[in-house]
Amino acid sequence: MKFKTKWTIMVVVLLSLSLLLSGCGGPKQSDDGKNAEAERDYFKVGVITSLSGASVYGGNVTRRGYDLWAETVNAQGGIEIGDKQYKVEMVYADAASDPATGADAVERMVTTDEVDFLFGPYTSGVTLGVAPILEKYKVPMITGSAESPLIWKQKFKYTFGSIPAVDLTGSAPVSTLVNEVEGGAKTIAVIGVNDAFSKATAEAFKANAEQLGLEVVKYDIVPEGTDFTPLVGAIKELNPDVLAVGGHEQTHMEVIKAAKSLGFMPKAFLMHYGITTPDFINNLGTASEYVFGGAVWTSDLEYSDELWGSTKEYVEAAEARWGNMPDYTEAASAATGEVYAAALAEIGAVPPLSEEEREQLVDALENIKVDTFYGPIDFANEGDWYHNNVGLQPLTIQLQNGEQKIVGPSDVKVADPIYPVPGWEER
Amino acid sequence: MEYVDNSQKRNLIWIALLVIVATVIPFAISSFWLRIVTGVLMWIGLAQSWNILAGYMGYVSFGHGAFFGLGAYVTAIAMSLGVHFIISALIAGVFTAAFAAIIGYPTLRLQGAYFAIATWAFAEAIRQIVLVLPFTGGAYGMRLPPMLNENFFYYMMLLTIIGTVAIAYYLMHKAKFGLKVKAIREEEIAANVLGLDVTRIKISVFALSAFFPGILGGIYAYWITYIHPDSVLAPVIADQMVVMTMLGGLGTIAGPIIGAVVLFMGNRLLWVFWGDTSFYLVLVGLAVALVILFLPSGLVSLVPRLGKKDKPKVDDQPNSSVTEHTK
Repeated sequence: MKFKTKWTIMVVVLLSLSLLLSGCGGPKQSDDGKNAEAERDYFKVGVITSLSGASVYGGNVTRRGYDLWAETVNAQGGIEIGDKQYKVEMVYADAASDPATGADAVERMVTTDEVDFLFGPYTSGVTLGVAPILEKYKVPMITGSAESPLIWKQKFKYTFGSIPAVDLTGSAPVSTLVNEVEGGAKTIAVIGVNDAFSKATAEAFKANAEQLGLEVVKYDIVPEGTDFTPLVGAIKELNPDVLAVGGHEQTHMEVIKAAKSLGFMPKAFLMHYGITTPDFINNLGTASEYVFGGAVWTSDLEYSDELWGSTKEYVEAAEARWGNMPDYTEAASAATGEVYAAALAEIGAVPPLSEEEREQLVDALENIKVDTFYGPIDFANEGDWYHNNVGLQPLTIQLQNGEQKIVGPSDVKVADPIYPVPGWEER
Repeated sequence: MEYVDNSQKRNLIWIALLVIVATVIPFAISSFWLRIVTGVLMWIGLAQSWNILAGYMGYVSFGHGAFFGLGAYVTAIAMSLGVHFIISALIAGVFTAAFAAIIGYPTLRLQGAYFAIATWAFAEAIRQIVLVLPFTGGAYGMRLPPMLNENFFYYMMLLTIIGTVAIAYYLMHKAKFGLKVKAIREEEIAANVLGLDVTRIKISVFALSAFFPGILGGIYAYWITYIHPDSVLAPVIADQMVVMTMLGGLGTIAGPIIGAVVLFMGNRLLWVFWGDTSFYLVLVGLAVALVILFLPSGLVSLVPRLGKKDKPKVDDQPNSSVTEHTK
């Protein structure tokens, strides 16, 4: 009896194993795949981003951008190569905000789905996890989001990014506050939260401030979830002209609330990502007014491109499709597709792409400069920002009457910066 | 006597068969599935390590993920100093075991929920320390030189897992040491009164259960090439070790293996087929809830032979049927 049970188990295990082995794609299956592949007349595009996990919100922002590009391109007949148009088909995988899961996903997209090229992750961590696998299979990826400077220092050949790293964008607002306002800021306090993006932002603010001769009276990197009241209290005693914060919108809101409750009003608050989100403005009301920030894109810029026509038309299309105003990550993700389309048209490669064509695509991406509704996209070919977009001009923005206005650099500003800003009681 | 020999022979055939299958797997499946199987192996090792401590000694740790993360960081730092990977991973294992011994000295005086909270707090402390230390990359994480050979990582994991399972089986089921450990689980005061050096045994088990996660963390770091406190020191790593072991069956050798295979494989399969939405996470949650509801002793209780608890044979009687005792 016992003996029989054992054999039953063994047979079941062996059967399952053989099922597993045959189901997982032996050589025969991939042969069949190759034949089907040869006839494919559309581009297969992999999208690897965070559809679950800690960064699901941001992951969906990137996905909206990528999807709108695909829908718009397909509605217009597809990517034009020579005299023919080729549609795009998106294949998605969830990186679950985890580098290991992202790596698994990319392995599958490249080997099983045989995608032609990829749209990249929301987070820098997942980007760093998947980039080595793309080196192995020689498949290009452009991420419309990851902003950590660390990625570009690794010099991955097949990984590109359309949003400039945060250390490229932090310079404009500091320079505006020092050189382009009356009386110019003389002292600054910088605080940042200890996550990759926020810390890099704080470091960029500090480095630029020092370079421009500002006195940095305090520099602190604090753990996530810190109570900002004591910290802002200590900064109040030092009374700097500018309080600069590296963080996400939640941090920014907490700092402003703490400053308001302590009655501390520096001549300017300087923040970065997050101050342009509806949450920030709705939550803080008038307290959100006059906050300075850095950005490379706002919806009132006037760029033009072939796909949507202009920035304004893109914004209208995105609002109509998703029901809210696109932020710069969503815009960068949407513009990413335009770069692929331009590069593919340039090399005249039709789907499915061979390894040689993918190499040509990478060469084309390295040398191309594409004008999009998001601004010019031009990937660096050397240095610390290798394959990061260096074509955009960093902007200084300020919230005025609930809107983000470009207030610097002076040759592109649409409104004058207000500095020093009115106190809490004067609003 | 002859029956026992036959049974042992069959066990040997079983093991030989498994080893052969495991050895040829990389040549039979695609690189994607090989990654998944490598992941399964890693989780078997992690769940089994946790089981050594919680299943056999009855000390539930919610901070065991910290040893995995520490192993990853020690390996990354050693490799950045030019040490060979294999040596680095071994250093990581020894380091985490020694670290566990030091941490265990005060915390193993606590029991039940207090021990669980202490280990959880210890893991969180490690995460915060790694975030501020200058040589760990802080919030930026660390990158290792890529070695893009899936087979290498598969075999590294396989070797480590064979070691983990074999040592756990030998120590807990064959050696006298296992009896002492289980005595502590059943009645610590009585074990002490009987003359066992309870503190020493507890520290040894804690160190052993931290040794393998240290090595596995090292292999993971080299495999994924990028580590960050949010990926290798996240609380979810310890949580998964707990869930996998409970799902498979606590205090058995087969339990954590089954739990890890079912949970990780199930998760990945659902992710492959429904991966463009996050609906698969709901299915995983539902499956775990159902098993815990209807099979409180874990999946292993479906197969009585595997599910039998860890009582070592004290007599040499053939057919000595071991009664299944549930706690």
